[in-house]
Amino acid sequence: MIPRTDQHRLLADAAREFSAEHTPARLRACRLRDPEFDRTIWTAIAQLGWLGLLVDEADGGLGATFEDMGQLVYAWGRACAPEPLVASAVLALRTLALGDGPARSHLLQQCIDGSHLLALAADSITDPTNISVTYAQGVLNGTCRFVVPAHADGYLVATHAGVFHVLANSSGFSLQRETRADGSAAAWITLSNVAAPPVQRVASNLNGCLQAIDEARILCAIEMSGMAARMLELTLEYLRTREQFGQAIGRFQALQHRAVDLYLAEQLARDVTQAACIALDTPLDTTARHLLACRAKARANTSLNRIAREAVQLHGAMGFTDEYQLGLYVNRTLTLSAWLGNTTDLQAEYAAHANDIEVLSA
Amino acid sequence: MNTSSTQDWNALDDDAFRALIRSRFEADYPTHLRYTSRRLRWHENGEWYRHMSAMGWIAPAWPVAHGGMGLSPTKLLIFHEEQERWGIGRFQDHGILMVGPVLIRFGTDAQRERWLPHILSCEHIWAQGYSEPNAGSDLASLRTEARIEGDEFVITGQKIWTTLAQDATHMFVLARTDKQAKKQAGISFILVDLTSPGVRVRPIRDLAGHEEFNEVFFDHVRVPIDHLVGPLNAGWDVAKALLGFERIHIGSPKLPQYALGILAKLAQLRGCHTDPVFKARFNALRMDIEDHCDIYARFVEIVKRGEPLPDEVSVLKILATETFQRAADLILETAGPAAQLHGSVPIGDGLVDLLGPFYKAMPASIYGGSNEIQRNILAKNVLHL
Ligand SMILES: Cc1cc2nc3c(=O)[nH]c(=O)nc-3n(C[C@H](O)[C@H](O)[C@H](O)COP(=O)(O)OP(=O)(O)OC[C@H]3O[C@@H](n4cnc5c(N)ncnc54)[C@H](O)[C@@H]3O)c2cc1C
Repeated sequence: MIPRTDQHRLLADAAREFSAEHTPARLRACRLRDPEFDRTIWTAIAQLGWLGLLVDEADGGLGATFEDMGQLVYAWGRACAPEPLVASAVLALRTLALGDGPARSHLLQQCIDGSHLLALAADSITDPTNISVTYAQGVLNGTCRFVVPAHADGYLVATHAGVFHVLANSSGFSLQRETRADGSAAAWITLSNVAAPPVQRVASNLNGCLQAIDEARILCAIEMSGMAARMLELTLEYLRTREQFGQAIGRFQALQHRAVDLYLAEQLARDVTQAACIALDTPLDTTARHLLACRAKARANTSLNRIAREAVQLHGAMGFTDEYQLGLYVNRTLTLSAWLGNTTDLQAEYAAHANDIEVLSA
Repeated sequence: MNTSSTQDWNALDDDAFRALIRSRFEADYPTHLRYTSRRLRWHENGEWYRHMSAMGWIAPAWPVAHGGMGLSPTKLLIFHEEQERWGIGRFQDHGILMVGPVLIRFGTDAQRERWLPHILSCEHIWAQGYSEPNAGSDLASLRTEARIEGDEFVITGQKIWTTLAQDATHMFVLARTDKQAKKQAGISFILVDLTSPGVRVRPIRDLAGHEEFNEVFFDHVRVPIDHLVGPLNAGWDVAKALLGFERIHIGSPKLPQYALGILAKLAQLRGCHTDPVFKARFNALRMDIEDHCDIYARFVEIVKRGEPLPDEVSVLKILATETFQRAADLILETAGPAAQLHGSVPIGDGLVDLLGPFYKAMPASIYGGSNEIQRNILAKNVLHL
């Protein structure tokens, strides 16, 4: 993400500075832990106002742009930080902000100030119309898997009758944590007769939720392009310093070409995701946004997966250790590329919504 | 029951051989050890391999004269296929795969008598002491030193990335025995008992969260001089021959077949095995693996004839590991959102370790001589560029 205005630069610098907190030791300590991030960091982010970036001023937010948010998320990706910025402060928060239900405004306040941490539970997030949680007579029933962050104060549960807010400690609500590749967790939640009175309604339909998913895809892609940039940097550094056969391995032309290919992948991911993020700040129809989101996230997936694998290869055995920080990025790559749609699913989505193939006449 | 001495496996027709192997694996292999996500430790699968040993099945590729099954290439392929099909975990098999063949080629009769029976009985578990912190691809720059004092070597130095050294009783070590000689010329191949005083092993955690590789430190470790294999200062030739055996092993279709087995199971559980896009991808991969078997068979034939493996064996290592990686990637793509989950993942009414194959495949293009080094070998020694 390249800052284009002073405001972007300020945000990007602040986020980068904040990233100094994210030492590899802290990142490792968060793994296999509940919660899978630092709540104190979350509160600190809230105090900086960052959680309200995507919320209108009328609702108590900063009314900033997606491009502003992108600056933060990019820095987050570079640092491989575990706090669920995209999952909570984009996916769940935007679902909430785009809602029309009575629970919306007071929850927005609590989310912005960091006191309430939200996760969106929309079953099979690649195909949210395929939702299995049901709403009838004021109660919710069903299960939902791959809910991120697993540890939240409340969950926005998507159903065909709209979106409802449910507290983590509600009666009838339970969850099982499943460990993800990066040591964070996804929740597999079960709702059995969980009460959802009208005041807990966040949205009366799924439109906002679907839009939020596409927005989150694009911001997730930005985070991934930040990770790509860092992995490339680590790899180039290693190629310059690691010596074998009496010279830096970066002097072998075979490896120079590989490094260039990684650079191409990184540049492509950066520009594609940045363009998509900027487009989110312009009027877009639903299909255009969806196509953009699928394309950006698919590109981030392919670029990042390529870079992660090659970065390890070019580091040799060192790249395969847990002690070296590259591994944190590789495991986050595995995690994020399967979240919100893997490449195959996104390409299929794109094909399903794009114009039919036109045969150009000669 | 030692069947190997009484049975001529190669006389059986292929289907009968397959049926025999299969029924034995299915009947005897512990179910909870099938398709495990990580390399099993010796306390977990030692019993199974001692059982294989007792049956005379522990060394399928060794000549019968030395206690192996002496399988023909076709039979050996069937043996591997059945192992993978049943999800049988590998053990720390460097003794069988590398030390045995090296001793058969370079050892003295006394050494063969001394070491081979312990390898066959699984009493001795071997680790590979080649790599050092500054000698990876450039292996010949290794610095671990073996000084001769009377009838002993005194070894001092450090090895790294040693797979499963924590379970091994012995290690074959490349050490410098002549500091004056140029690189390759002053290296010897020495067999070391890891219980000797002065040996220290420190596990290194890997990306998958497992402790499979290690650092091994040698501080004035005393080793009898008759543990030298091949002539003094001529260890490089032994080491290279051993790498050939390692490459034909890594280059076997076993690993891709193992991934293909998991992919098939996953597709069944997810119900996408009839999806045309999936079927096209699956079968493209399957064809690649079947093709690989054909090229693999050519090299097995060479081993069988007892001839040295030519540099071309690098072809196998590249093809097998890169096919394995593509198969592991296809597992992740096929799993959808579940691919973000670590360990055994509930899918439909089964359990699949989705990331397991990925973590196994990723370093396969690094160890055994990285694929870049294999390509260098082929470019230089085979294509003469
Ligand atoms: C899982 C695992 C298990 C292992 N087990 C063992 C074991 O049991 N015993 C043992 O001795 N070793 C073991 N190894 C070590 C392995 O043999 C080395 O990692 C390997 O030889 C590469 O050395 P390196 O890691 O130092 O990488 P480096 O040699 O530093 O290489 C770094 C990168 O540079 C590339 N490169 C280097 N030189 C060239 C060149 N001339 N041209 C083009 N590219 C080049 C490499 O291919 C690699 O991509 C293991 C490694 C792994 C990952």
